[in-house]
Amino acid sequence: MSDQVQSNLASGILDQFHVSLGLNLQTKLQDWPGRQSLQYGSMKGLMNQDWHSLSDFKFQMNLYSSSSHTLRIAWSLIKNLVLNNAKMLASLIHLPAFGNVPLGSQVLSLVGIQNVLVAPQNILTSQASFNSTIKSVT
Amino acid sequence: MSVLSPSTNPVGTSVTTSSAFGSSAAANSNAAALVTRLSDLNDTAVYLQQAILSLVQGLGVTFDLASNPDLARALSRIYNVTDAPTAMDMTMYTELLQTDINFLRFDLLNSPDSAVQIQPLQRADVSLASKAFESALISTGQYNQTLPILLRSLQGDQVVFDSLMNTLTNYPILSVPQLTPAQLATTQNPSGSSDRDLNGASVDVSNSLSEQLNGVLDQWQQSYAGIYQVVASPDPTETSLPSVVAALSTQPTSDLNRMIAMLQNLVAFQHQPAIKSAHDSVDNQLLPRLLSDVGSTAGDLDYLNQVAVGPAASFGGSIGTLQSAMASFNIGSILNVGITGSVSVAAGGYSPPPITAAQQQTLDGIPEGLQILSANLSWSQTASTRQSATISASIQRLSLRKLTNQGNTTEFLTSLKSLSSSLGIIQSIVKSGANNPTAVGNTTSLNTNAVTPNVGLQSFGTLVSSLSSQSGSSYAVDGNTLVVTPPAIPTAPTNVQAVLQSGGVKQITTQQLRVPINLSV
Repeated sequence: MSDQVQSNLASGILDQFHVSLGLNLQTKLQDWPGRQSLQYGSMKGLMNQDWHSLSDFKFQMNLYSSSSHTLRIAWSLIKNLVLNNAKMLASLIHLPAFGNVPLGSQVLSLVGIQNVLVAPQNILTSQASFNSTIKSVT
Repeated sequence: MSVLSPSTNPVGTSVTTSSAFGSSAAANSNAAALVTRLSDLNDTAVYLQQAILSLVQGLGVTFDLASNPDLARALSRIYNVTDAPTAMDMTMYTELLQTDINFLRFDLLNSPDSAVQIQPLQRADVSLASKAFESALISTGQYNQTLPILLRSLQGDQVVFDSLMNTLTNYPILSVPQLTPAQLATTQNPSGSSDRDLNGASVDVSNSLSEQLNGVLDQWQQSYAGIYQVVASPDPTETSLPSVVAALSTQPTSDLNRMIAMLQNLVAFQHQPAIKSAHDSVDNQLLPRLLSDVGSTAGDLDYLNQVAVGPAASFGGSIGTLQSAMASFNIGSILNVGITGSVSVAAGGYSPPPITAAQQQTLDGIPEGLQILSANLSWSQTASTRQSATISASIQRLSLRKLTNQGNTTEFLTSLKSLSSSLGIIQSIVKSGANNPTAVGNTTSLNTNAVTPNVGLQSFGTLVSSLSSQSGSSYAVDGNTLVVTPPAIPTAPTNVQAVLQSGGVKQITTQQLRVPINLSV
């Protein structure tokens, strides 16, 4: 199925979306550390699944643990815990539309959780009203 | 009545004025004339949007969100809901479009060094959602479903009009209270003052810039007249319905099916790509901002030329004498400071000639510092002239690109209206079986058969009643006459009618058209 254009769309169910949208304003990401943090934070959720250092660690531990029965048993217990990557996960929160997002990072402001001011569109009708709104964001 | 009607009042001609701008001096100004005209064009853009919306009230798109998860996420974020709306109607679309256009207005108001921005994700979401709706409309290849794509172009125009009006109202002639004739007679000084450089308390838009902007606005009203024609009038195929139906009904079904295939193919390979290309072009997305920026710069340069560069041509005193003495010099020769000579090239053009013996004689006794000051003043004058020429050309080119884009879209929509009307009629005839029975045998030579029209008045009436008009017109059979009622759109306000008539619309009417039904061919 693809998108379908309707000449007489029954729109009653869409009434709830007949709303006025605000302008989501936030401070610019002007500093380099801020941009780095944003990029790192954006990748962290994915890195949690396929962190290469973790793979290396598992490979090496498998290799050396195989030499001893005791180590093999110990490693089989530990590796289930390692997979959870608990310390990394503790730094992330799960948002339905975004997946895992790091806590306390600039990513949160990007996705609209932090530091976002919603302004009505009529602030654009005069420079004075625009300027006072901008001031309240910074 | 508008204060001025620029098309009929050449620059400099005294006309009747109102007190709309606070004083007769302000109301008589070029700036006031342009502001009035821009305001009327803005009203026309608003009216055309209302007219389009009145024809597509029930239009909407149901989205296949499973195959477009990005759109689903964007919609759920825009409306702050877990389950994204699976459809969008015109009310939702117009709000999204206005928000998208308001991002542009935000960028124009937001100074470059501002620490605030629109949240990038909201910008991307709104743009994605509004464009998904527009793409779906274009993909129908149906005139009455594609028409709303003009809304984005018209809203972009409003950004340009507002920005130009803002530039014009900052001219001192409109921003500073002007003296009354009685005050002028007693040579009072203006009580107010401009906060702009050199306090030019009554500086108006120059005649040259005024003429240029009026030329651009002339083109704009022509474009609007074209949009009005396509929105407000029935298609010629519709007004010639009896003849078209009579001719088509002489054809066998196989021929009609051939026509349907050909016309649908034409729409798919010409109209849809052309409309999509014009719609997605930067001419439709980015130009409103560029044109607004260039218009603002043109106003600043025009002001500078009037308060500084122009008067500098007739400086008195020692500097004036020096300027006159050095008037024939290539200033690049004076300002050649060596190394690569880049300053001399910038100031005097490619490879400025060395100073002649006669010129050297003139310069003898004038300190080098004064020579350089004089040359720099001359450089500033020529640079300002060049900048004005560049900005002037930019306004022409940008407005031409914007209006060509809008004009191309309007033309393809006009053509699409005819095609959609023809297709609708042919499909109705095939569906109703009002044509000749399908011939058998060699179908490649069916057209050569002499046939007698078999559409009677009664079956024509039945056909017409089942026909859905592409333009939004309605049909009725009154005796032996077909009555075509043009699309029911709102009545244009007086000032909008004036703009449309100046643009070339000959008749603004909702009168019915009566076409005698002659079913012979």
